[in-house]
Amino acid sequence: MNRPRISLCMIVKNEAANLEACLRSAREAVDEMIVVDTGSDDGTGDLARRLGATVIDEPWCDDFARARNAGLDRARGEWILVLDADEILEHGGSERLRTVVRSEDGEAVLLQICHEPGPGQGIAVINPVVRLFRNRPEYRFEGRIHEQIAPSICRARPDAGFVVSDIRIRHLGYHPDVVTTRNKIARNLRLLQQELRDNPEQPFHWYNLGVEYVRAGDLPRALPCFRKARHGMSPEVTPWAHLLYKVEARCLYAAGRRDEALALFREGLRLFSGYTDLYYWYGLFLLDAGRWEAGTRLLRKAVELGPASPAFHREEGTGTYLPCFALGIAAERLRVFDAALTWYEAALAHEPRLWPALARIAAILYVTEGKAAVARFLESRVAPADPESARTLTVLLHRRDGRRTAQLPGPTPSAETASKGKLSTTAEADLAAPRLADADEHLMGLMGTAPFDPLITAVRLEISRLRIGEVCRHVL
Amino acid sequence: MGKPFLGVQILARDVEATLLRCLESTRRVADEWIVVDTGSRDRTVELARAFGAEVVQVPWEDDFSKARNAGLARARAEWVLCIDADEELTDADPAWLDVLRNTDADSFWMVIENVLGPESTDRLFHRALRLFRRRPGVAFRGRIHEEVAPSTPRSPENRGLQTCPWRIVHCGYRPEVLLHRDKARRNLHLLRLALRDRPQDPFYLYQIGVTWCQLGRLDKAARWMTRAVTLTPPGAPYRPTLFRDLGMVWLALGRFREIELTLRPELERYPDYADLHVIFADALRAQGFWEEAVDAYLRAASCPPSDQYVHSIGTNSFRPLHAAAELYLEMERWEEAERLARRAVAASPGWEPALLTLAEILVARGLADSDIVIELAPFAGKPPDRRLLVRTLAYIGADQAALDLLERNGGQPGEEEERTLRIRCLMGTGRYGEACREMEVRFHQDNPGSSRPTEEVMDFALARWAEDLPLPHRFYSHLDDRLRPVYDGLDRWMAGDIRAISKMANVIGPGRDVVCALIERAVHLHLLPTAERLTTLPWGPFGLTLAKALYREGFVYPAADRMLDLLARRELDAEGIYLLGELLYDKGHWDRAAELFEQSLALGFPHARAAAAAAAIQSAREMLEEAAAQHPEPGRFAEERDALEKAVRLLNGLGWHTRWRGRGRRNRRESTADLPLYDRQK
Repeated sequence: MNRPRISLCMIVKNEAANLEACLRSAREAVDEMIVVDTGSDDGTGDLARRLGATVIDEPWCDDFARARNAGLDRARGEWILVLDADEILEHGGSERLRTVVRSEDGEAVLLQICHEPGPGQGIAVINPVVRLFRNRPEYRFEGRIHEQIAPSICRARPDAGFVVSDIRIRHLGYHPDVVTTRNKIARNLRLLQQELRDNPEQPFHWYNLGVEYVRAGDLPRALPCFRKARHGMSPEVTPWAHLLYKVEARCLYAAGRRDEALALFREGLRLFSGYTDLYYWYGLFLLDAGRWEAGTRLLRKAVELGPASPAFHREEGTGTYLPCFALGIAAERLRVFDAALTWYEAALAHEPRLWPALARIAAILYVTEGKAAVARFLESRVAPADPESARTLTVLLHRRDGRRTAQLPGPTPSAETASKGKLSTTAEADLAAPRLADADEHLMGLMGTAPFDPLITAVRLEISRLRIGEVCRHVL
Repeated sequence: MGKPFLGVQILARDVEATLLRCLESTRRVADEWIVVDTGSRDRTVELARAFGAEVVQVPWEDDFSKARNAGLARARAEWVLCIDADEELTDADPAWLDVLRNTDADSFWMVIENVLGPESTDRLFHRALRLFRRRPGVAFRGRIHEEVAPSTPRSPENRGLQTCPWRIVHCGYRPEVLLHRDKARRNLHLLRLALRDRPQDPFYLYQIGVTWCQLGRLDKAARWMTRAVTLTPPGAPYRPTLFRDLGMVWLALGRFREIELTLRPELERYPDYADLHVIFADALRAQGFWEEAVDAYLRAASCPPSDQYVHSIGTNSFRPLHAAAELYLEMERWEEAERLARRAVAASPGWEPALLTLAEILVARGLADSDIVIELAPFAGKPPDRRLLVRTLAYIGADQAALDLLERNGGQPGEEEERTLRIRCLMGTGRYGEACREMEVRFHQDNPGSSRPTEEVMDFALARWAEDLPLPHRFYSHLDDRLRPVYDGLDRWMAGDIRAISKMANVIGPGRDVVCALIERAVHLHLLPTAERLTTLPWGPFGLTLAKALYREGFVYPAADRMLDLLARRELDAEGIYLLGELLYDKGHWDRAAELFEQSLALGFPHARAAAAAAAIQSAREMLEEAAAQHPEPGRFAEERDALEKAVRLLNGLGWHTRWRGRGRRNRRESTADLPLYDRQK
């Protein structure tokens, strides 16, 4: 049988730490591996050769496209697969890649790059990117930075078919190392500015320049870049347009320009009515602005839509547990506790280890139904044989939502799993427990003094999280 | 003579009292008047004819539209203005007729100002379609709350209509007018007939609710309006008003949670409707959610002025601003309180509640009395209302400043109220002799047998005793038979006749009450030596009364001394123990305070429960703070501490803590300001 051959093409520099995992994950999927080394001094080249790759040494000229194209020039397969050293083809991806190239008659395939958060760094982001395409001499990368293959394909064959697949590539590249990150941002900024000197109207570069400014924490600089990108492109045909709307609107909100942000969300939703992430963020910001009714409506819509189609850049959970959790928080703020419980349960149905939701349910149950109900609930959710979960939960029940997360600033009801390193005893907090037990007894004695019952319930809810620790220890 | 241009239509029965004023108010702009009479038995028809109106007499058939259309059929004018006999046209500048002559429009809104009470702030505004072009086919519809068809004010296409600059003032909603005319009963009857024609019509359901409201049956009003709410289509122009009225009814019924749940989504639908925000905020405030209430009041204050909604005066300015200032005052956030109170008085100079609140805030912020006068004067109305200013100063206990103001105008006796204020301020500044003389004059001017308020009687007695003067004979004529011997005995005892009291076994009962009241009043008037002296009366013990009175009037540390003594002698009762607990709470001795609150509770003072909870939470918070201070990791327990702080703030919304108002606030401020010195002396 004559199956199409696939060439893996990579560019690397000092990736000895990551490269092995990457090549091993892709080895089965491809027929040859070409690694362009742009000046490593940590033995990356030797490592690659040992793992069976062809290594090409290419001097670094501040130009990503050029380096990548050096690899393409050598490739002999009918298809090219592009990976970065800190990426791994998902388990079972090899088979699926083979199937795709056998069955598709398109010119290029979008794979789902899944950016995994570091510990405690928030939610996963999934981005569809052209990473698999036919090997033709006219298909070459363009752009010093944020190099793209799609423009050359479109130019060569305007009717070329692009196929969206749901094959995932896991991206692990969140460096906790601040200095490395800062250097990378500085380098990227430099390259983008160079590009824009050559090509001042290129909206994609403006967009990327904005993203780099956001990463550098410089919103005032980022915003004009986004605006320029938005005015320079036509949203119907630009593959990253939906993402631009999301990022720009979130930045505007974070910069305090709330009305503009909300208007942009509205505009974005007119253009991309199936883009769940926009509903989620827009809803969240509306809640933050005190517009409960409108915010709730949008978040419900996000739940209704579910995760956005693979054609969109999307964040994990924006169509499932995140809006459910946010709706729970909103209901709790409005003191509609039965609705809050329902939403937290819905969030847990999507994400059973969503500790903050468990903790909030426990607190509400404690106030509305008493200790026994909390015990029953915890026993049903956390298996006694799972000491790690029990420990995590014990600590989280003392805390409120864990730490805030989000890559962009915003009113994020965080829904992260707690990092293990932070878990430590809160025994000191227990000193206060007897006092709070007294307080709670008096508060319960005050119940029935309508119209103050909602107030007393609110007070009890505030202190309940410090009180259920003991219940929790008892149960687990 | 040409065809008339503007015709006035009046539907009337037995309106002789108001008809002429109504007709006169339209004389400058109208040139045709048609009065439809449905069977008047007074001089209505005669008056109408005398004015020059055409009178159409029709039998009353329980149908407003039918009657009105009979009038319309007789009209010849190009434009029709409908006005009721209990209304008047104002601001009717004939120049605007030119606009009417040249317009393409077929109808105009008119703003109707409903007078609800004597104050200029007791006004309700709404608008209605009252001015329209007479054309074939244009007629009234509906037995009651009749509307002009085919273009009715309820239809959405009327949104773009312009508003006529002339206004209509309506006095018919004043409760006494309503009762007198028994209009509400009649309306109810008609509405029920109308509902029979159009069952489940939400507008009629709503109007039945309004009518029950006028009849004082709020429970029924709420039931009808709730039904209307579920049936009203989202675009109905009267819908926002329905929520306003239902909200007000619920407020009066104490159904705050329902207001919160029902109005919250409507606030987003009608974000500019200040009245809704105010009602919503009132409901939050009543449930103790102070901070949320402040947010809602501020949203009301940022609403644009609006004729499109039925609204009361000041709901987008001084009313919510003042309410928010009061809440900030309650939360002891002086700066915000002052900022909002200033905005409130600037928006409505001369409105007493805001002026009092601002005055109180300025006292709390420690301004000198002379400066307070300067700050308040510009806001005491236009022209400045001196009496209001004096009243305000007296309220906060700025007695000298109030006296200066009273005497600036030559110090003539002035009116009754000014004299009362003057006496109060004289007492407050220790000028008991002068106060005595003023009061004597008043007592002399009274007819024999007439009585003065109890407080005034007490003030007079206390002032005399403070001056070492006996009570004059005349004084006793203001007392009833029961009290005469009591005051007689007390007067002699004050003069040194110790046996006078022991001989009075038969008056101990009423005597004890009088003495308690006198002690409290004496403390209120700063007459501490007299109060002390009264506590030594053998009818006692009065020590407890004095200690509590001192506390309530804001002299908290002198009160503390006495309470501690009483506690040591086991004479402090449950309430006293509670008050002592408050004192310790305010000094941050949480555990000791909690103990006292628990004791007080055990002795049967249920009010101490909320206090006990607050003290326990404060104690827990302090423990976490101490634990955090010893922990190497910064920000330890920050979330827990925040939660507890929030819990305490929320609990304050219960209003469990003693509140000091006016003079009491000043006394407490001065009393606690001396605290460092006081502690050293201890």
